[in-house]
Amino acid sequence: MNNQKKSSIGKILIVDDEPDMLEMLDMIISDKTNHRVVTTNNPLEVKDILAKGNFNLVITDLKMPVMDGMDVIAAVKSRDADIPVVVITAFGTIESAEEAVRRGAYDFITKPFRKEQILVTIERALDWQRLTRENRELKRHVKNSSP
Amino acid sequence: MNYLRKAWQRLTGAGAADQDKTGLEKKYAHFQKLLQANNQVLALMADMGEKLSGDYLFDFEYIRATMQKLFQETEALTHALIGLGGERYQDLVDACHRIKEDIETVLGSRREIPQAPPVLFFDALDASKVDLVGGKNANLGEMRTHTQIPVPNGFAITSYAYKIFLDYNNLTQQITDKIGSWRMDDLDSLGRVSEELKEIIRAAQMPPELKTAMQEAYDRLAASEKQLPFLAVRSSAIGEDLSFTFAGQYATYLNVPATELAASYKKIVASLFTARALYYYKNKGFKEEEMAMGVVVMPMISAQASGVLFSRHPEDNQGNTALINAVWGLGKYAVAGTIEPDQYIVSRQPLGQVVEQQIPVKRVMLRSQKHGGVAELPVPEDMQTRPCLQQHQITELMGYALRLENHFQKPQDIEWALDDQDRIWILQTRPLKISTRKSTAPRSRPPQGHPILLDKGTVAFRGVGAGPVVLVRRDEDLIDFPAGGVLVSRQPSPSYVTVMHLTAAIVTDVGSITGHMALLAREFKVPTILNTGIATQVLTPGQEITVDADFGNVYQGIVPELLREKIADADELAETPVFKTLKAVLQKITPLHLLDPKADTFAPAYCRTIHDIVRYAHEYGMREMFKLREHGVSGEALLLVSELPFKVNMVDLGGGLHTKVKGKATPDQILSVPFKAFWEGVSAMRWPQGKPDNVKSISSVFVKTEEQVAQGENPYRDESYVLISENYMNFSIHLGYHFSNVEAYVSDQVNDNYLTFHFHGGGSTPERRERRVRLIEAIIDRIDLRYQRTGDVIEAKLSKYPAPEMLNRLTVMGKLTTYTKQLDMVLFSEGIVDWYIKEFLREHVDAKT
Repeated sequence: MNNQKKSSIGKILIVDDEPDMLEMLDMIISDKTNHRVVTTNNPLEVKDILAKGNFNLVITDLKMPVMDGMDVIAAVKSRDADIPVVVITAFGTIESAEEAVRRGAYDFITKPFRKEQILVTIERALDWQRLTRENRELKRHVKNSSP
Repeated sequence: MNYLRKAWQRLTGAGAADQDKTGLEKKYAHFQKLLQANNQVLALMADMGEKLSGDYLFDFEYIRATMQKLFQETEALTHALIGLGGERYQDLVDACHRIKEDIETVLGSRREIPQAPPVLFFDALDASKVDLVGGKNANLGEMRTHTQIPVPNGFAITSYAYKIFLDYNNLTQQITDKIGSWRMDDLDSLGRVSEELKEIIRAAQMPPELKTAMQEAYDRLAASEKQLPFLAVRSSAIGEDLSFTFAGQYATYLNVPATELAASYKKIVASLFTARALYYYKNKGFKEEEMAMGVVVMPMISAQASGVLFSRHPEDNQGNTALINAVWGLGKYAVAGTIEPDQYIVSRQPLGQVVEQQIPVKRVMLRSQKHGGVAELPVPEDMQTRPCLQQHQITELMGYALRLENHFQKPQDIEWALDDQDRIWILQTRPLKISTRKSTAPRSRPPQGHPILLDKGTVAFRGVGAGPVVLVRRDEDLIDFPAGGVLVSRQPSPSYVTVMHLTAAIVTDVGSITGHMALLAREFKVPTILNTGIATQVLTPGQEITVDADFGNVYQGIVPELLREKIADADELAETPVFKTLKAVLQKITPLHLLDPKADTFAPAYCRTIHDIVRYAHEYGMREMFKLREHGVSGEALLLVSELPFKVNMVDLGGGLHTKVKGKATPDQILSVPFKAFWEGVSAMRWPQGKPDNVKSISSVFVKTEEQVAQGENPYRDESYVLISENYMNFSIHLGYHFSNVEAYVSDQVNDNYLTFHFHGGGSTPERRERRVRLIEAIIDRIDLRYQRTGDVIEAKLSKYPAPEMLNRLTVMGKLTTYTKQLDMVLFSEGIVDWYIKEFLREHVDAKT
């Protein structure tokens, strides 16, 4: 372990049926950050993978065979509502991306995108999770300490 | 000059006035479409080039969608040119189709199944046979034929065998129909189609030819093994890019008796049609007839231990360690993560030294059964906590790993097995999918001791380059361009492509990132900053600079730390299939072969890329517009009424004049952006100070002298003629001795903007003509026009400057027109020419900048 703040390291699950995309995302995130990345091109595996590890973020493609991104959102949210989901969508399908956000996705990003764009989105999503958890913790604290 | 008169005759004569006018308007509309399509195509090309910079993530859908738009716009472009210039441009459409087919071939990247024997032994294979037998087989063959590494003997069932199998059962059409019945947007039916296809394969018959070939191969294998081995039958998918995709997803059968080889083969073929594989194929734009499966057949190694070796530990920044996983029994449990394996972190140098190891309790293992198949067995108690590998075995494995890495020139992901006789076997090797982690510390800037010389501009291609400044003012300056020089120029030009392999970086004053040169810079990966405004003023020839096109800065001196960063940041995405495809497609799109518009090879037959098409269409679009001055117009021409003794007839192609104007117009009714600027110059002109004594007044120069009349000039036939629109002017000027033409397009689209100037002298003595041309040359050179001179004919051009700069120059051109007219009588000597050049520049050019 290096001297980096522990809180800055997250575990990210990426789901995309396009292996190229998975590979590139994995490369970039592993290359530019200290986050741990797990990938799958089979959305049906998402539940099992989530059960095995403590994930901080899920990045998923929206359009996939058998189980689409909306199902992935549902699977993630039913497991832990605090895990942010970032949806990747093809240019020109903004409507479905917005629908994804309505269904609980934290944010969406349109393909093709810049490396920096996904890295910034990841950091924001991880911050959001941290703040959400801290917030809940504080509320509970306040609740418990109030008469 | 004649055409002017002809045009004027037609203009004044009776005729189909409205029809002519409409014809001109139509042509102008085509020209505008051409410019629009030109910009669209260039923008799409720029966008695709940018995606290759390594900064972007994109998928095949992006490539397909962009190509579709590109084809549409290119077609619109060629149609516009035909609308403008007629059927003579049909050749360009043909060239366009040819290139489109080329691109589609690349995009389709149709993999033909090569004809081959149905079965090939590893000893007959190497890495080049990947299309024939799939990646796994090809690598096994490569190891057996080109290395001394222990790899079991075995054979490949080829993709051609797969074709025999399909043909024998008439399956190709059935598969095509089934897959055709499913569309990308209907994911529900995908699973059904997949199941039906798998069922069709299972029900199919093995062709006798194939059965025989497999049997013979097995017999040969048995003979060489001196026993009747059970078999490992594994998928070896065709297509390098797919091997990653479906790693571990296709079927594998272990410890198969020879009698079940054919059945296992069919099951592996069926696994080709999983829902995900089908979706991926379709999504990638592959044809189902390109799907093919190769199969690995090798004797089953009775393994006491097996595992996986990564020749470089993925988490190791230094890259000096490898990672070995090991389990008892067959390796499947290590690969699939069924049980926690032994883990050894081993140094590469010194070879095989264990840096760290974890030996968990291993309670179960997978072993071959005596009569075929595999079963999970308990691990004997004394072995459960014992490491699977001893030191000498680790060292031996590491030796193989480094040799393989060296042989394939890439870190490897290796499957190995230790047999019952303690022999190590390599069962598979493939490139390791990792990226080396780099420090994430942001760059500290600005670099110490290197002042920033420029900090604005538009980055056309990222990266860092350093070297001495080479100022390029005209094409001749490109001759002897020094290797490693930084090309600095006022405006970008596609002709710079001739030195791009030598340039460390490019910096220009003006320019657009969707321009021709920017596209080429991207293709040649030259760090490029455009539109700095002042590069040619700030940078001096020979000065050493570092161009940081990542952050848009230019530093004084060579900044080694920036250059080092560039080397370290090699593009890791470049190896992915989607990148390779875009790169291959762009090879048919961006290279520019039509460089010199005057060359014979500047013709449709020589167009090899979309860029060539665009370049040709744009050049000839402008030429067709220039030719419009020959177009006869009648009726609608308006007279420009001004105080100047300068008779100008105007034809408005749309938006060039105030709408209410009829018959005559005054200068303040001109709306045409370029013509307004030009006329401003013409009319703002005043007589230069210190005029020679014999020139009496301004009016005297407009009055025809006897000399002129004697030389065939008719003082009352000097009429000039201008076609205008909101953004366009095409002005044929006839003033005394001079004929010149100034044509310009000026809009907010920098890429569209251009100005052409043609000057033909005439009249006067050779000395005077020479002086006149020298004067014009000196002045247009100062305002950056690229010109060519033949005798006393000057052809000049300027393009892609922002509108305000275009208009400034047009005003100067207007002034110059009057100036040269006025000077005709006074160019007595070379000295006087120099004086007038200086005078003009001082008063009308330098004063402005």
